[in-house]
Amino acid sequence: MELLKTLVPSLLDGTKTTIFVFLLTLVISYPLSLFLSVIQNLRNKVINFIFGIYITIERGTPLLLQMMFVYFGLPYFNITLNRMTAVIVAFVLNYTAYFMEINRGGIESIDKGQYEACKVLGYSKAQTFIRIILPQAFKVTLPSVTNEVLALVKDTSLITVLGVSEVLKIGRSAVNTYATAIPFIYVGIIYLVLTSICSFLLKRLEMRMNYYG
Amino acid sequence: MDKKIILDVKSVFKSYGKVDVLKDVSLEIKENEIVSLMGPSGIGKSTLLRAINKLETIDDGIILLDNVEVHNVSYQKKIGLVFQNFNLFPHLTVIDNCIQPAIINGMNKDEAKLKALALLSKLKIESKVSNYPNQLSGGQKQRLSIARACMLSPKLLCFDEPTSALDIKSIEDVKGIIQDLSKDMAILIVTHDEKFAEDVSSRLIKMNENGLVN
Repeated sequence: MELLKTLVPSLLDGTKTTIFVFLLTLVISYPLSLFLSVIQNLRNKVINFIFGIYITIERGTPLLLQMMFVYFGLPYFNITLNRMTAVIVAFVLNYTAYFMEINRGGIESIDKGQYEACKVLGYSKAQTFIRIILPQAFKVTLPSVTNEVLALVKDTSLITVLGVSEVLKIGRSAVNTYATAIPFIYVGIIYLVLTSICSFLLKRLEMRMNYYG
Repeated sequence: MDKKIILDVKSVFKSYGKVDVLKDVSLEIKENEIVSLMGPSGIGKSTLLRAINKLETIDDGIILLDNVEVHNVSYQKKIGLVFQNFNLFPHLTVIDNCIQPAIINGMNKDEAKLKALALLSKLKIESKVSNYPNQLSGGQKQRLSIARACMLSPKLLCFDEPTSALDIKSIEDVKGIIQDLSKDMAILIVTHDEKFAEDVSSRLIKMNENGLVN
């Protein structure tokens, strides 16, 4: 108990950083993925080819490598970012790609009759997408988005390699300092609480979206 | 006095690759007429209906709706289509299924709401305004689809296989609805249901390999 009392302030600080990276990544990457999915849906061959390369790289290489490239690699191209900016850039680029793929699956699952109904009812392409397709695709993709959000909570632990003081780094320091594995358990509990809160909120959202079949 | 021609299909051709689906098809429909188009599967009935509704391009010929070439305008408000499987918007309530397309086409929200309520009441689904399409029966879905298509007061209302998803009672109801609607517009029905077509239509057209036969 004494150890817990000693560690609480630093663990809370680390948790704040974890939540900050998580929230900032989510609020940038998900809306950005929706915007890019709108562009992707215009079916421009050149743009979609570029998107294809981007998604292949982001999904085909480890996030850890991408983060290291942004922080340690970009300075060789005269682009220097501070630690936190590098983390956010790498996370946003990575999660936007995953969300785009989830969105694409959702959009492709919508019956083509919905597009035809929109066409005969005079909807423009943008109106069709925003008012009819996207709301339905959102419901279809919500379980996959939930999985990705939970993965994001856990992936924030990767930023420890750039020396950012998030909850895992603080836990590891405590393990070294106090020569006990207990801080790892505290860190695990913090991740469990964070993922449980996300899971609960997104399940509630899923239930709310069940207003239609 | 001769009735005005609402739909004038002149020598329309359409092929998919080497398969000719529509070969020199011509058809006229006058106001208040109920025309049923029948024929074997794959003969091109639905393709013609889709071409009239701009869901298919045509290779040659002209389709005039109220003297305006359908394929030359970005959107033709004078035509409505009731799809075989209705294609209702599942995430919108019954009334929003009617209101949203009308607002998109420039109708004032209050006016759209009043018109939707009047149409839903006429089609006897006014008690379902707050429901979602998945909470409706097949017959109710079709009524909603009709109401949605009628929001902009089309001059021609098309039905694609209107009886295929309905029970006998609903088929009888839809006959009455179509006959009632024909007081204000022309109706074109594509159907396999010969009895339904004979009962409801003022003119029956059969489609075969050589085109249309009155």
